[in-house]
Amino acid sequence: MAKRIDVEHVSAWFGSFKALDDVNMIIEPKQVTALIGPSGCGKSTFLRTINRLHEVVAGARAEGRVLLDEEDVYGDGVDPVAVRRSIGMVFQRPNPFPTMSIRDNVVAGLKLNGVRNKADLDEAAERSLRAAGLWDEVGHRLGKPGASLSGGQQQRLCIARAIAVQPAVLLMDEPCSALDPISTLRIEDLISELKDNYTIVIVTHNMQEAARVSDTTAFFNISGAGEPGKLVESGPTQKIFTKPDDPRTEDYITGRFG
Amino acid sequence: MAEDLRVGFHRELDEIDQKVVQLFALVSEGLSAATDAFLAGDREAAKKLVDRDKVIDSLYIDVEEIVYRQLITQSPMAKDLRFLLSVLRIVPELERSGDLAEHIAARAVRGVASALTPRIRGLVEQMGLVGTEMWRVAADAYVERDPGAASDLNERDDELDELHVSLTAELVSGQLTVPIALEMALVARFYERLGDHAVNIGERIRYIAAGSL
Repeated sequence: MAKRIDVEHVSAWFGSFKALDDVNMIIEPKQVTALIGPSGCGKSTFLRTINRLHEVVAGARAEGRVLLDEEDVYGDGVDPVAVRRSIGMVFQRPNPFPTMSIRDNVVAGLKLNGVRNKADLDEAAERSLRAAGLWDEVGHRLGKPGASLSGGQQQRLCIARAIAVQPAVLLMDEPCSALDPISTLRIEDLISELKDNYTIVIVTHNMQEAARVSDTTAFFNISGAGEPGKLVESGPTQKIFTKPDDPRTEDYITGRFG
Repeated sequence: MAEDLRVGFHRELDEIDQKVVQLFALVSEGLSAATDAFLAGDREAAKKLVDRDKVIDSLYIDVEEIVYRQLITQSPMAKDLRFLLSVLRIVPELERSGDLAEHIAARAVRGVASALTPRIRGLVEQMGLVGTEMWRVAADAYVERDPGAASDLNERDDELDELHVSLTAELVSGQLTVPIALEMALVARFYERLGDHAVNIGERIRYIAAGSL
C-alpha cells in the first residue's frame, strides 16, 4: 500500500564532503513526485537516502529522519534490507539479472525473501508483469533470458521486479534517460498507472518529463562548487513550471542558470 | 545575474516583445489620430490610418508565427511560457483594436462629424480621450509588466461605459437623422469595445507578471 514519506532535516555526506543539506519535505502517497535540478545538486543522493541506499557507498552517511507512515527508516534497530524491501528502486540503465529468465528476474526478490511455492511465484510473476505493462509481450516466453528483451522492455522488467515484492514506495533514478522516445512514453504511462498503488519518486534531468508525469515537483540546487545541494522549492508541478515562487527555480527551468 | 544558456531563444522572445510594443504604439496612437480625424472630418488623415491598419495586420501575423515557432521548438517554461501564451492572447486584442480605430477613422471619410450636435461631439471627444488614455496605460503596463494595471483599466472602462450610455441616450433623443444616428451608434460601440480590449490585455499582463488569471 502506498505510504506517505515525511523527510525531516535530512543531510548526507560522502566522507567529509557534505552533498546534501537539511532537506525537509513531505512526499504524498499515490502521487508522483519529481526531483529536478542540475548535476551535483544532490537529487540522486536524496533519493538514495530515502531507502538507505546512500550509506552503502564506503564513507557515506546520512543524518535526519525519513518517516514512512510515521516509522523512521533510520530508527534504532531498523534493518536497512527491510527498508529496501518496502521502498523499491529502479535505476537509469535497465539492469535485469543477465543469466536469469524473465520469470526468475521478476520473482528474484520474492525468492530472496523465502517464497518457494511455485504457484505463488507464477502468480506473482504474472501480476507484476501485467502491472508493468509487459505481460502481453513476454507472457508466452517467460523462460527466455531477461537480457534478450529490448531496452524499454528490460526497464519495464525491472519495474515488474521492483513491484513483485509489493513495496509501498517506488524510487526511480532517471528511469527513461537511456530509452528511446516510444519506450519513454510507455514507462511514463506506466508511472501514471502505478501511482494508484504506490508512492513514486522520480529523479529526472528532463523537465518535460517531470512536467508530464509528476503531481509535485521539487527543485534542488547548489550555490557553488563544493557546496552541498539544497532543496530550493517544492510544489504542485503545474505551479512550479508556470509560476514558481523562488527566482532560482525560475532561472533554472527557463535556462537562465548560473 | 544568472548566465543565460538559451541565448537564441531569449533573443527571439525579445524580438516578439519589441514587435508587441510596436503594435501597442500603433494602436494607441492610431486611436488618438482616428478620433482627431473623425471629429475634424479629415479624410486625408483617415485614409492614412486605414493604410496603417495593414501594418498592424502584418505585424500581428509575424508575431503569431514567431510565437508558434518558439512553442513548437523550445518547450518554454515558467515566465517564458506565460509570456508566449499571453502574447498569443494579447495580439488578437491589438489587431481587433486596430480595426476598431480604423472603423472610427473610416467614418470621417463619410463626413458624419459635420452633422453632429455639440453635445454629441463633446461626448465623442471624451470617449476618444478616455479610450486613448486606457491604451496608453495598457501599453505602459505591458512594457513594465505591471500586474496592477488590470484594476486601473477596469475602473477607467467603467467611465467609458458611462460615456457610451450617455451618447446612446443622446442618439435616441432623435436630434440626428436616422442614417447619422446609426453611424454614431456604431462609433460609440467601437469606443466601448476598444475599452474592453484594453481591459482584457490588462488581465493578460497580470498573468505574465504575477501568474494569476
